[in-house]
Amino acid sequence: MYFNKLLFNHHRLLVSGIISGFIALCLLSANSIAANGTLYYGESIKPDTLDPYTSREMSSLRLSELIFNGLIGINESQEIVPELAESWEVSTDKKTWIFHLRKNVSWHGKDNKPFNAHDVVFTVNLVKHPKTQSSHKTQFDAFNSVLALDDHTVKFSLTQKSLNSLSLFTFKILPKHKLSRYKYLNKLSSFSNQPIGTGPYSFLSSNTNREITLLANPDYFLGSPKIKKIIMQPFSDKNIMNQALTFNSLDMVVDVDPRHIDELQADSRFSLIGYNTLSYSFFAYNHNNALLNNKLIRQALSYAVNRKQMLKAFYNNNGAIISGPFAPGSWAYNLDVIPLDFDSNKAIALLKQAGLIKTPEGFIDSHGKPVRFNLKVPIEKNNESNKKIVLAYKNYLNKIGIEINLVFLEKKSWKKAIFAQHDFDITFATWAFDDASDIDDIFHSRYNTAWQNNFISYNNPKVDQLLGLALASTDHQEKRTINHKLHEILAEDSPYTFLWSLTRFAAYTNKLKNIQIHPYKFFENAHLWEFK
Amino acid sequence: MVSWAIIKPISRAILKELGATVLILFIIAFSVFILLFYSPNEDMLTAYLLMISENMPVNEELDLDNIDFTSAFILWITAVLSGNFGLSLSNGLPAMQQSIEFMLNTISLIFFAVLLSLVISLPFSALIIKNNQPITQKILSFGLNCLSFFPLFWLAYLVIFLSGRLFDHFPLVQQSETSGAIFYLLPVILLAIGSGLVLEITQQVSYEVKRVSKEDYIICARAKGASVFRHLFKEGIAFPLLTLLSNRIAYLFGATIIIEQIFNWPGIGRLLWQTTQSRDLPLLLSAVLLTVLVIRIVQFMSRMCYVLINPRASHE
Amino acid sequence: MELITLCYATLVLLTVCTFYLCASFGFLPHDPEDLALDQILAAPLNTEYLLGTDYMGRDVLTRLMLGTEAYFLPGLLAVSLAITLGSILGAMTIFFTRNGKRIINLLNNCLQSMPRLVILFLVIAIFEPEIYLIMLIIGISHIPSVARIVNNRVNVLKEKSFINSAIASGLPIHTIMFKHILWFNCRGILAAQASLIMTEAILMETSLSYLGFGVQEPASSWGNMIQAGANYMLQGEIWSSTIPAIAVMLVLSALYLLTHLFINKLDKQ
Repeated sequence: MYFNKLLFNHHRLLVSGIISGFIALCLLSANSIAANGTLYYGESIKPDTLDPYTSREMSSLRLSELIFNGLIGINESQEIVPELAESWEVSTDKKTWIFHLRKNVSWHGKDNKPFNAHDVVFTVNLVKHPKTQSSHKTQFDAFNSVLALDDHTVKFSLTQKSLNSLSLFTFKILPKHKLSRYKYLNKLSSFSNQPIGTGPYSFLSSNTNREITLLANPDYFLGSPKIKKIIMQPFSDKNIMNQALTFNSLDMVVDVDPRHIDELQADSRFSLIGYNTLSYSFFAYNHNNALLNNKLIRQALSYAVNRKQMLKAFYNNNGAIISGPFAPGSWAYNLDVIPLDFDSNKAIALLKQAGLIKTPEGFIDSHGKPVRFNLKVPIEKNNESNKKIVLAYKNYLNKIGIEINLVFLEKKSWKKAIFAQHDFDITFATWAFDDASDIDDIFHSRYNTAWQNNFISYNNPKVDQLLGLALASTDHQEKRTINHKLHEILAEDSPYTFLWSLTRFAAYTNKLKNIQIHPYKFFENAHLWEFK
Repeated sequence: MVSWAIIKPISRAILKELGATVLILFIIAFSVFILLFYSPNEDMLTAYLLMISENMPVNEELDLDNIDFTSAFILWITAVLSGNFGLSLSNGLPAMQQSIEFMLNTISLIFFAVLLSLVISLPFSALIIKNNQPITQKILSFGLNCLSFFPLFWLAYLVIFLSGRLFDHFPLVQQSETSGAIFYLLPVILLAIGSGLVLEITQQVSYEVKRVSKEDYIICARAKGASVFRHLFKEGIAFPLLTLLSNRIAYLFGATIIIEQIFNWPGIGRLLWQTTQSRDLPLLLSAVLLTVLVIRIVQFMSRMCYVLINPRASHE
Repeated sequence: MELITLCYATLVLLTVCTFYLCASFGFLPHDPEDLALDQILAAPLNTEYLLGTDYMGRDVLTRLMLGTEAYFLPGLLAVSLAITLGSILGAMTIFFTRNGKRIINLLNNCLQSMPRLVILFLVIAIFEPEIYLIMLIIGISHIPSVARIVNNRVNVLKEKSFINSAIASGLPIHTIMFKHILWFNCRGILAAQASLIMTEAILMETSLSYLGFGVQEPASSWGNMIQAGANYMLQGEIWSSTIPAIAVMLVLSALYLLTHLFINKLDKQ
């Protein structure tokens, strides 16, 4: 047929043209992948803002570590190292601190403005401004006043002496000349999206995807960084991020999902580096529930759970099982308290002792009602291991005859149910700590109202008293003894089933060397990293 | 006089379509607001209204806590019409501006997917028309149909898995300096095939061309020796394509939500998902309204093309 | 050819029904909550687990059987809602043809310029991600399209003065509406429409599972099985998601074939 032929010829031309165009484009771009001297790293959360104060996202904090400096820093072995300050002195009452600043530091940017004491004063006042939105504000409340004695000397006076005052001065310094027209800082400030600092890398650009490009700062005062460019790429799907790493589209992944650790460990092209986080996971029991208010039942639930098996099956043993309310890396953790072993017989015995009656269908309480708890868990798409843990937990308790009603809630509703309404029996969560290891707000009975951290309504006068003592104490040794005692009591009382503190892993290609990773700051010594 | 005869129906059609578009946008905005107003989470709306009314000359007597439906709706719609969609709760940037940036990325994805579907399916349908065997045709279309019966995200994972295993290559990651066509390729292919677009174009075009070529006037014209290509193109290819486009464009936007999620494509679909998760109402609403607007514009344009090719259609 | 497709389609749909019945009477090959943490992601066709195990060491076949309820019942809800209300609305247009048609067309255009997932996102953000609520919305959002199809048929019938003669012969109006219009003249297209809506509802549930808003574990549904399994796919453990994905494909293709068969039969009549 005539028209068919015509039609066909017409299109064959067009089609072959377009297809060959496509192929040519593909080849072109395939050749240009992997520019040398550029480090691509993947994050699962896109950063919110890029200044060090307005965001709470870890990804933002990690980036600000590359862009900014503090007066002093804490290195990966928890030692204080000088950064923008060369040296410092302290008065005998430990309330006045004088810092001598480096003289040869300049801010990023073409104008090379020098860094001086006025920037420090400006930063403190900016963050202390009541309208500034920042999670760091409490830290700044410790400063009574700040004074620039001359261009390179700053004097701080503190409101009260405290245990580790020096760690107060790790805050990041902002440039006065860029921010002088701001009275306070919020997420809208253009500075928060195009920051300028003194750090090893300067901000170059970010696109709609929040893919952020940083350029090496050749004038960095601790030595010019070896890697020319660092590019941060956010991924919404962790599987794809891992795939990108294994096919060399990424050089580093900051937080490897537990399910990919095996695979990466076996791959000789990559190194995994573990970093301990000061955090732990737990199942929390609502003490408003009459049954869960009973210590024996809480202990029984802790005995019924095989934590070793879970840690092995879900995390490949990359973590430490804990016995009490502190992170095992911290000085407050009492190593003498041994974690409860898995013992389902003991669990059943304890439940019977608590007055529950065992029937073939499971435990019933004294009114003959089956024992049944609501376990409320947030839906977290990117954190599948949480789902596994709660499923396994449900399974363990089912085996000893306790029914668990698992409710998955969308994250915001979960927060509301747990923290505001205290409407749950059991929940699964994780606490993260800083160096202070303060558990006052978690277990003290005065924090049991809505949106406070003692959401389980835990009330133990002895614990309250010890917490008060610990807070008032200024002697490190004394505080440690109190905390060890607290650890003992809380381990026995089991308000939570303490699970474990996990080791997180960063993965990077072996093309990189000199990598050291700081537990939560991550890029602490990135200027020393280099490609082979 | 001749030109008037053409212009009049077309301009009438344009006016009619414009009216319909405005009406539809209004109905959608209204229903969205009803949802919002009767949501169990009351403070969400109050906070949102407070935000958008901040930089507007608002009547001081308005009590945002117990506002009645009409005045709340009027407040909202005036804000929206003056381009004030509020600020995103999560990053504090103007919501509409952000949505537009993301939208441009999605539009490019969809544009290439449509282009690719045409590239694949037009030769395909030519083939089907040419050898005209119902059995192969049926099997072919059933096979393609089965592909679109797999969940889209599973299909995407499968393709990524296979491309990794077979070609030892993972051509999906966007790298800003080297961002090239490879980045576009897999998501575009998946969107074209997985959403069933290829199949539908093939089926429609081959069916229509066959139908039209059997019409009396085509047979007659061919008997006279006149060229029929123009007619065939118009009736057999252009019309079904335009109808298909305006019917399926919303569905395509739906499919991009999945595709963007998997391929880390910074488009409106991913934005919608993220804002739904974080309940970032200002950003979510502006993204939704922008999506509706873009879809409506595409439908409007395809309708206009239809009328331009065939002015008689303006009466329908 | 027709016989083969008919056999295939009935076989698949019967299997699903059997699965559902088995699950509701508790005839399951394994305990669905029993975790074999030492046998995670076992390949299919081994001696203990016919279709292998998933990422928690649960039997895939058991969960497949158990998942029929959460996977298909919400879809059926959407379908029945859309079909009943849509066809009634469509049939009502015999009273006010012109405006009825206009309103239905307008509603249809509104829904056509809004992706269904976007509607669902709005509902999820404003209310809760609850699967039955989601399916309710899917059902409601299909009412106008069903109504339009019935309305078109009504218009055709009107032109043939079918309705007028029926009214003239003194039949009660509800008999005309339900028996003559809907049953005699629309059942074919309604069935086709039902299977289309079902297909869409099923795929929608699966997509929502991927996005984290679908049926939540420990309840099993084919959607969340595919999603959970897909997490392990790129590491080469493809089976635990491929098996439910193939099951979905089989069911949907059976639906598709059955509908086409049905339509062809009706066309010939």
